[in-house]
Amino acid sequence: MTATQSPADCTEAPPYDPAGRPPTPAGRQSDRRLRLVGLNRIGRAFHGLAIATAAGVVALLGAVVLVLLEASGGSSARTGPAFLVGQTWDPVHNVYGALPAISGTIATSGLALLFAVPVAIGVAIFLTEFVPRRLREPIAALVDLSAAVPSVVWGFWAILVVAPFVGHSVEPVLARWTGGAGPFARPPTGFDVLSASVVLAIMVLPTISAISRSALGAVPRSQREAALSLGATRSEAAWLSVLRPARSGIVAGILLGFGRAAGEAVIVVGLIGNVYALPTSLFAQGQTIAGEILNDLNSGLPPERSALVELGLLLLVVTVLVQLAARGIVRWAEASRPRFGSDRSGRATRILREFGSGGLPPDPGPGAPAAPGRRPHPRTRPGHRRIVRRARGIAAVALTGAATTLALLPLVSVLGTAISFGGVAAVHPSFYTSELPAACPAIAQASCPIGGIGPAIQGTLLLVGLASLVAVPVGILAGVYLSEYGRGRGTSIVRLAADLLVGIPSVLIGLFVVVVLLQGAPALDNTALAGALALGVLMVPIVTRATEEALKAVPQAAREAALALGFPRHRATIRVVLPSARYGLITGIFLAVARAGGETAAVVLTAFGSPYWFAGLNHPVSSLTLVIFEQGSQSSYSNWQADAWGAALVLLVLMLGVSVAARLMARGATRPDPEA
Amino acid sequence: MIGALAVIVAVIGAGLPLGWFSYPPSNCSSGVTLDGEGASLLLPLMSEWEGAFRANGSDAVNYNPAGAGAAISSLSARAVDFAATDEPLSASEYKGMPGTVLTLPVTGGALAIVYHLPGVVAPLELSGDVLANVYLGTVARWDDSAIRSLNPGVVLPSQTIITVHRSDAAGTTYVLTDYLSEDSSTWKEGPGTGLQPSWPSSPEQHAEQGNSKVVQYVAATPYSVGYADLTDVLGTPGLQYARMENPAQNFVLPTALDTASAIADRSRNTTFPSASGSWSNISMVNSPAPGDYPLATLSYFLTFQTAELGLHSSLARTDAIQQWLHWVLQAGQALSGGLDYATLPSNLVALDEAAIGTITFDGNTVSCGLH
Amino acid sequence: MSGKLNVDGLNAWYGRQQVLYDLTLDLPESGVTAVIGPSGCGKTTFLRCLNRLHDELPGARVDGRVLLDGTDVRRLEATEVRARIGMVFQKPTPFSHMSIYENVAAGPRLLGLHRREDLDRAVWASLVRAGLWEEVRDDVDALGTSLSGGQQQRLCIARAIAVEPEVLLMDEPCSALDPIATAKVERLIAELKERYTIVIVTHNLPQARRVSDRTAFFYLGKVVEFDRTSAVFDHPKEALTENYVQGRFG
Repeated sequence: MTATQSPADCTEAPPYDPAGRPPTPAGRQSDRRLRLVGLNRIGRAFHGLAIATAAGVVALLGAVVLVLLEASGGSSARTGPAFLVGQTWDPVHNVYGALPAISGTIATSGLALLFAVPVAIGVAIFLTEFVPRRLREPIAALVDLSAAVPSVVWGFWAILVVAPFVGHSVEPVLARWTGGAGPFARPPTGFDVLSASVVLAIMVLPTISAISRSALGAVPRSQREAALSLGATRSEAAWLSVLRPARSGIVAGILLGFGRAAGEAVIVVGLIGNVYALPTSLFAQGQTIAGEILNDLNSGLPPERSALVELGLLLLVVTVLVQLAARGIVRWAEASRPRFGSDRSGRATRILREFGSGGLPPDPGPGAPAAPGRRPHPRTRPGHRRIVRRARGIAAVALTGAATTLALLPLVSVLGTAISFGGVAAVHPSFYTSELPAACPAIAQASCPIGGIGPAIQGTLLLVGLASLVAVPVGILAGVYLSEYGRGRGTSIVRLAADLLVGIPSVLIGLFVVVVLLQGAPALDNTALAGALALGVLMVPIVTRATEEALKAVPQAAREAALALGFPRHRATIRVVLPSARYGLITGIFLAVARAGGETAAVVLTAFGSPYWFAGLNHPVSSLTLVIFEQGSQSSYSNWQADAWGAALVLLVLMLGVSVAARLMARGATRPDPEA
Repeated sequence: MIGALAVIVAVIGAGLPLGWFSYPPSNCSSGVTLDGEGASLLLPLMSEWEGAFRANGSDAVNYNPAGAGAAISSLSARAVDFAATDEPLSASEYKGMPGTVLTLPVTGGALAIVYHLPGVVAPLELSGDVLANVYLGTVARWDDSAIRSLNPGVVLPSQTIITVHRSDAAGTTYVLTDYLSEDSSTWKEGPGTGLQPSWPSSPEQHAEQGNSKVVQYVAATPYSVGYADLTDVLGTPGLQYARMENPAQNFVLPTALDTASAIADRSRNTTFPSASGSWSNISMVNSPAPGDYPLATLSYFLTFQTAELGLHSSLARTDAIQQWLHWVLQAGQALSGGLDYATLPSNLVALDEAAIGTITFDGNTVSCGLH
Repeated sequence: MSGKLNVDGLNAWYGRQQVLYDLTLDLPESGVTAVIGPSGCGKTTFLRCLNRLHDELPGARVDGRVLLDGTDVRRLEATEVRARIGMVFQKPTPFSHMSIYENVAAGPRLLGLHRREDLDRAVWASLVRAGLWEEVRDDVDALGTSLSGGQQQRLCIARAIAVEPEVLLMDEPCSALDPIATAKVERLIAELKERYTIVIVTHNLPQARRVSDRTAFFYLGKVVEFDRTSAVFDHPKEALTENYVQGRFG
């Protein structure tokens, strides 16, 4: 009986099943036979459709790479490899160099990880090991909710809360302690590399924490019990049985966090000072690749645009490398250490030499005194060691608990700020049906109308809805291919393409769409259609992978039952497999919708924004994220700021709602399906 | 599954009543929303104009203050109906346009040099040369001799100057660099004049997007100096701004009056090209009269003379553009004074009105009557 | 009270469900006690109450006393109890990312051994006692999980005895092993019983007969009979016991 099984079950123990045993030959053969069933016309059409969408995913990745390569051609031909080391960005004389952007990206992302990783791992350990079972779900839910906060809201909140705090409280103290040496050299303003890194860390923390938690949770409980039964304290058991095996998963999570931080544009432009220079200190202003693209793409004439695309290519290369490295680490760690027979550390020879190859000396019997050199019996070990172990255990709980509290603070703060600044506006029903007011400089009038965000809400719903209309079916079909029809090399290529697409920074997706439209259909740039296109590209790979995972969770027995009844493969998939996976599917759709709804950089670059209601797909459109970015982070008119906070509150409620719904869906998925 | 699909369909239905792709019919009808983009220097005025124009008729204007550079880029991509900028098209930009672009001055504005010096009460006096050196980094501290010699008797702190500039391609920057290039040969040979020059590295720098953010930043950061449009500056209580040296060697405060007279004086002495020509040499900076403020500028609307090149072009849309332009030149001018913008001199109004009449759609002039 | 482990009026619940009813047994100082009975229903829970592992389960509750050398285990630190009462699980669970050496050394390290010689000696002694030394002597740095199933289980036994417990609890240790490995483990148990009090839960009635000195028959959470093995199997007092050992139900 394993520990997880309730003794009340009173069932037979399961037979020993060593992990990693290959499938029996009989299983493989039946799989092939089953695949031959169902080759009628509709089946073939469905099969073809699935293949087409899967190929489409790969083609999309290829298109992004090729388009960016082609569009950067002009700039790279002009500058050559000097682009990588040049330090100026001069549209007047058309001289472009990438070094400040590259170093800014690495500096802010690296710092962000430095801040986020210890806290994230602490949170993961706390939630996996120390939290009482009753509190685990609520606290984990809260930490995960932080992941649902869109980056534009983090950026807006940070300008108001983090930058002044850092600039007035943290940085002067740091400058005083260090005497203004080295990395603390510049006057503290709060809008610099340090602030940007802190907020990037806040944004990235839930991701790293979630990945760490699943790495820790993947370790079977029996390992923990084995450690406990040796007499380990809870912390010691956690270290022995759980943390060491989970190392590779955690490292992969860190790498993915770096990729996300490096691709973030909206937070950076609000906080880093937007000065195109090498950052010489923590308090210096700088710029990142993503920030530079977001700032300059729409105002650049073709030579500058080409240079920006070249910059984007650099970012793409970095992100892809990071993702490949993350996958590689997990795979490398899963391979065993040296096989039996190679005495790497020489321990075996050492022991042989020391104690001979014979047997033990005769056992002195229970009453005899302990042999010299033998450790006194545990019962008589000195008390202070026990205290040390106890203290270590308490320290572990305290530290990880503190990390969890720290991780929850930003969420509480951003919600509080949104409610207090946006609550006043958001309470009026007219807020949801009015348009944005005119910008209100202080001398213009005594009463500044607040107006509303009706068009913004409509725009968000429209953009996301349109994008979903295309992305969801395509993604589901591609996921069906990966799970049901794919085999061998093709599958892994499609899966890799989808994973890489998910990891591409959204600012590059916006760049891609802009470049494509400007070449092919310039009239469609700055329109709702362009925005929906960008969001669709973002959503497809998310839905694809989520569908694949959801379908894989359906037991093979369900498929076999359908096929044994004579269902052709496509009918089995549509009638049996997909419905069984509906909870997972809906969760995946929710996730993709949330991602699209909170997306800012891609929408800023493509959809233009508008103070008016939707006027047609070939016209600009507003959206909640655009209002928060442009009326909030990028302006300072008091009535616009109020509107932006109201929009932030609405967006937060929407995102958190979707996140909670997805969680409930996921819980529904793990409930045993009465129909299965 | 069905439920999710139903939600999605309902969501999309929210936009259906307005039609998916709306092209106004080709006869003269109303209800057009023009898309404009441009300088944030104009934003306060444009906001007022948008509201008043909409109240006046059935057409409307959607203005995106993404910066002059973005506007010019969008115009050449035919993605907007009109662009608003403080920088007239440079020779190469003018040549690079897909068709003839009309440059129509619509108002005048000014740039104020703002700063934040706690404890200094009277406005500082600065010259273009000194300001250029500040942004070049050669004048690094507030108590530098260059600044002190212009302001005898003022106690200046020994603090590093934090220079603030625009992070986007801005018409406001163009005006500033125009002024700096005229007063400082080092600046002219270095970064030069432009919407987004390569800012030299001064010891302390910061960049912001849009005039209002620059103002906000300078107001919150001691020992900083920046530049922004007059309306945003005057609308922020407590903000310090400098007296700038004009060619007559007077140090003038930026007021609406001095700005208007600067523009009027400069206009009188300038031979303006026709609206369809290149305005790349036109500048309102450094007006010679003794009381004029040296950092004045005209703001222009740019639009295609052959309107079929414009965005979603149609007869109705071309008509709407003309109505809008007419309105700006007449009723719009009355609103500009209240916001510290300069009313357009009458010779420029006449020039514009004549130019509007040359707008054609598919080769025909448009006249739908006023509505 | 005599004996190493005394159980006095032990009741255990899992959530609302009561699993053990008023158990009272005395386990002797050395030798093997087998715990037999139909599937599930209390045998493993009983074992886990002895080393206080049952406390780790959410919703678990224990009432009554378990005395180790006269002291109630609830009064002692859980870590000390578990260091003195070792456990081997049904499925072999070597620490998956550690070598053979590190697996066996894990326990002594917890107790404060750090010097290389001390650890070497402890590891060597445990592996010898577990009968695994001859098979792994060429490479103690191989991954614990690279061994065969039977070797892994003996590794777990070596790991458990490395902390020098006084009692060894074994929860169906051979049910996942093939007959040859089972025989090796049974031989090992016979050697170990000189040194340790061993309590072994098993479904395998012939095995219980082979290895144990005393046998306890559990049924639905109660001890039905507890006596010398030969008595329980050949002359059971209770009819229930007789029916079970004769294979009439199970």
